[in-house]
Amino acid sequence: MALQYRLEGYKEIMKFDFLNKKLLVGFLFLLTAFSLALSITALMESSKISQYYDSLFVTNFTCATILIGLILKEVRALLKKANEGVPGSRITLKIVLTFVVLSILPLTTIFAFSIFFINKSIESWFQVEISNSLENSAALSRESLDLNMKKLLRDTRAMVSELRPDSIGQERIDLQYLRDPNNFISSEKNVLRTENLQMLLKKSDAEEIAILDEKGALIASISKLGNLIPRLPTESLLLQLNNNQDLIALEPTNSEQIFARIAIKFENGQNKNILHVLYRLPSLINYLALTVEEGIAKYNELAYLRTKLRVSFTLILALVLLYSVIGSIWAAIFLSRILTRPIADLTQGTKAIASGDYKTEISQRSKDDLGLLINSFNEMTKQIDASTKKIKSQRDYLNVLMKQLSSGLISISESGECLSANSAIFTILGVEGNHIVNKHINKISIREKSIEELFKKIHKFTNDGKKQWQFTMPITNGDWKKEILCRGIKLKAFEELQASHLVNVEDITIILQAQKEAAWSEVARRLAHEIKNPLTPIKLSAERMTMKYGNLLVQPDQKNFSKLTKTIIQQVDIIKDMVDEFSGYAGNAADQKKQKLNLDYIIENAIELFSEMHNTKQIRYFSSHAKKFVYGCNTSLSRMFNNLITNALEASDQTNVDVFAKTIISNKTKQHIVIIKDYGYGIPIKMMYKIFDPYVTTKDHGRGLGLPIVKKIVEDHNGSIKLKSDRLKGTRVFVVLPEGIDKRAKV
Amino acid sequence: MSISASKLIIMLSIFLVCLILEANEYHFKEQASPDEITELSHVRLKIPPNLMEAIEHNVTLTFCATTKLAKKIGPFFFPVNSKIECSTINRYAIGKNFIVRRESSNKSVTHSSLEAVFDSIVKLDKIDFNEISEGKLDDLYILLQWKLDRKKLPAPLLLTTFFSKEWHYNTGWKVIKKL
Repeated sequence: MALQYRLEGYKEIMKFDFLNKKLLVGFLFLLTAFSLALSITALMESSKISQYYDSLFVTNFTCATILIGLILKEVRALLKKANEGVPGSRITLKIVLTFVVLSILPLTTIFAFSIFFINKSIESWFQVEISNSLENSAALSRESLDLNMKKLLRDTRAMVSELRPDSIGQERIDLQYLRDPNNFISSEKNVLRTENLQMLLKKSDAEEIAILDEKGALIASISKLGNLIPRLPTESLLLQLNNNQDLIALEPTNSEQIFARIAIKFENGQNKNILHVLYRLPSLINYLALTVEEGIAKYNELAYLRTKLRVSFTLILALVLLYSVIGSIWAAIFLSRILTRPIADLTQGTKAIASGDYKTEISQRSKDDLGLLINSFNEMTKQIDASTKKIKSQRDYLNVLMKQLSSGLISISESGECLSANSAIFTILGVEGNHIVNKHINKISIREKSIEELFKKIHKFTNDGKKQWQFTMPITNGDWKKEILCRGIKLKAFEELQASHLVNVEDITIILQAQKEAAWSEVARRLAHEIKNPLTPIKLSAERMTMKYGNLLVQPDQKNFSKLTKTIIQQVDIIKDMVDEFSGYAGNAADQKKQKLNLDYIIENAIELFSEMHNTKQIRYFSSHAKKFVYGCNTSLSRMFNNLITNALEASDQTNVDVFAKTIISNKTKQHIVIIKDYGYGIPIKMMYKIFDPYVTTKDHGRGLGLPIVKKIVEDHNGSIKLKSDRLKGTRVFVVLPEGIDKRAKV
Repeated sequence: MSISASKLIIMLSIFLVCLILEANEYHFKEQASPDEITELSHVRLKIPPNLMEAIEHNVTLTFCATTKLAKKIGPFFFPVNSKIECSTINRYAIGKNFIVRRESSNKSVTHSSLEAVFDSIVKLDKIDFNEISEGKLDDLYILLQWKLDRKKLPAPLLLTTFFSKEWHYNTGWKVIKKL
């Protein structure tokens, strides 16, 4: 889940960044497209747009630089991610490369062909035939115009003869100021108009007639155009006139009207004057001349700009190519991201699963093949998660079972290493987990040598290669001695887990003990049964013999007879006592009447009995205030405490015996603990392990049935007995009896 | 929104460059003996050959004269008022002569040679600013600059001559009179 949150957060940031970048790139592309369209329009012909051509070029260049910079940044980031092994980055890089290659090849081809065709087209404009035609048309126009101009020159010369010099005014004005095209004098002033000039203007086709002196100063003028100040010739034209050349010139104006300017010098007495006449060309000639002029001018301009046009078109096309490539790269980056996002998600998800996070779920964005794949992946993760949970619960269940098992289990590898062990093994052997687990069983170092020997023996059996094996051996501790049953099995199905052997270790001490006790009990019961039956007739016969035949005999035979029968009766009593003890050992508590008993009362009675018998020794009883009730057989329990106190008194020699009784609550069950403590020499260690076995005794005259009987009575009452002995300090016997009826008890 | 230090430095640098360029525009050495306005007819423009060739090939060129009334503060001239006068030069192919048209008055004059053309266009009107007529002549200068109006060039020329110094013809600012 944590991974999913992290993934979602990362995607949100990426989405925001991606959106911003997309907007920026989109805006730049739109701007560039608009700018390029304007540039092409300006290049083709658009005077209004062409004045912004520089700005458009700078805009294009700047946009291209920014876009290239962004692409480089993106590619660098992609390369970095690919090097870092970020999921989806390498496939994105491959897709981008593929897109770029796929787009560059056709674009370059189109670019090359476009350049070729544009160059060819531009060159085709400037064919020799067209050039010659235009030159010829210009020459033709000039010839035609020259003819017109010659006629106009003749008309102008004719005007000179009709001019009366005496009627021409002699007033002069400064031509320097008037010559400037921006300065003029309105005809309303009517300063220089004369009758002759008016007549000439009316008679001829002239638009304007002016008479100048030799230096260009205006003497008189008249105009149909309404200008008071005529459109006088420039200084260079006057210079031409002063070189005794007639001036014939064509002058186009802003109003698409061509004027013919003719100026001739003529004698006016001693002075020389200039007649300057402006003619408007006939409208047809004017139109044709303007058309030809326009065509020639355009052609000349294009011819001059030919190379520059080619360069411009090449540059524009190169820019278009560049933007197409940039666009394709951006499209490749964006599209590849969209395409590879599910793959990246899948890779992340796979990694998450590999790291053990089976709750990973990938959001399905599309319903295409990748969407189906993601759906299948999610189904798979769900199944894996469910299976893992099932396996985990089964494993937990097995662990619980293993913990509940009283038998110890160890798995051992082929090399002899202990791979795992359940808790029972530690309880049985009395060792800690780190002593065994992950250790070679042949090299386990434990204080108890018998346990080391056990593992060495296990190792020996595992190395033998048998499929199944088993052995028993005793192990000892300072406190106990156990009989261990080891069973091993060679595993084949779990080789991938490296476990080659499974060893079962069981503590069979109790089973053996129970078997032994059952056997002894059976022996005792049969022995008691077989022996007890003839004892009564023997004793009765001996008593009868004494009564009947004792008086018949004479001294000393009578004395011997009495002694012998007495011996028989005594021995029969001894045998009877012994048989009773056997019966007690073999007897079953179930056969006895059970009732609610006060444990304090039973103990105090037993102590009181012994206090009367042993005056020299003191038996002290310490009991808690709580009432101690048990459900049991009064006779059996009394016998049990009698035996224990007897043993304690015999062991104590001349010292006291202490009896403690208290009640504890363990696992919601009330239990009474009775401790009988003597201060004797204690029990030898070698005797401790078998002290509850029949016929095991430390006394010279004992039969070794006291403690086995005690143990049997305690167990018949669902209790337990434990014995601790310190050499030269005495022995403590712990008897634990439950209160009330234990449902599990077979009482 | 936080601006990183590098971006701030770049922005500051651009601002400084703009400031220096702007200051440089109005910082130049004053002529030792500035010409009078009436002597403007003696000014000759050194037109680069490429421009002359373009005119000869019927390419229309526009030259603009900018006059500025400026106040001098320290080494810098700060403009108070300005005027622009543009002239367009065309070649008449049939007549093989040149036409100069003043954009302000829309009057045209024909010349037989380019030298005559440029001799005529440098003759400006009488430069008159309101400040002069009102007599506010406290430490004022008249500055003049001739330059080619690139915006009026044909588009193919604009692109191909973008980095050409000749095609960025500019006389620079000159003090033509101290009032």
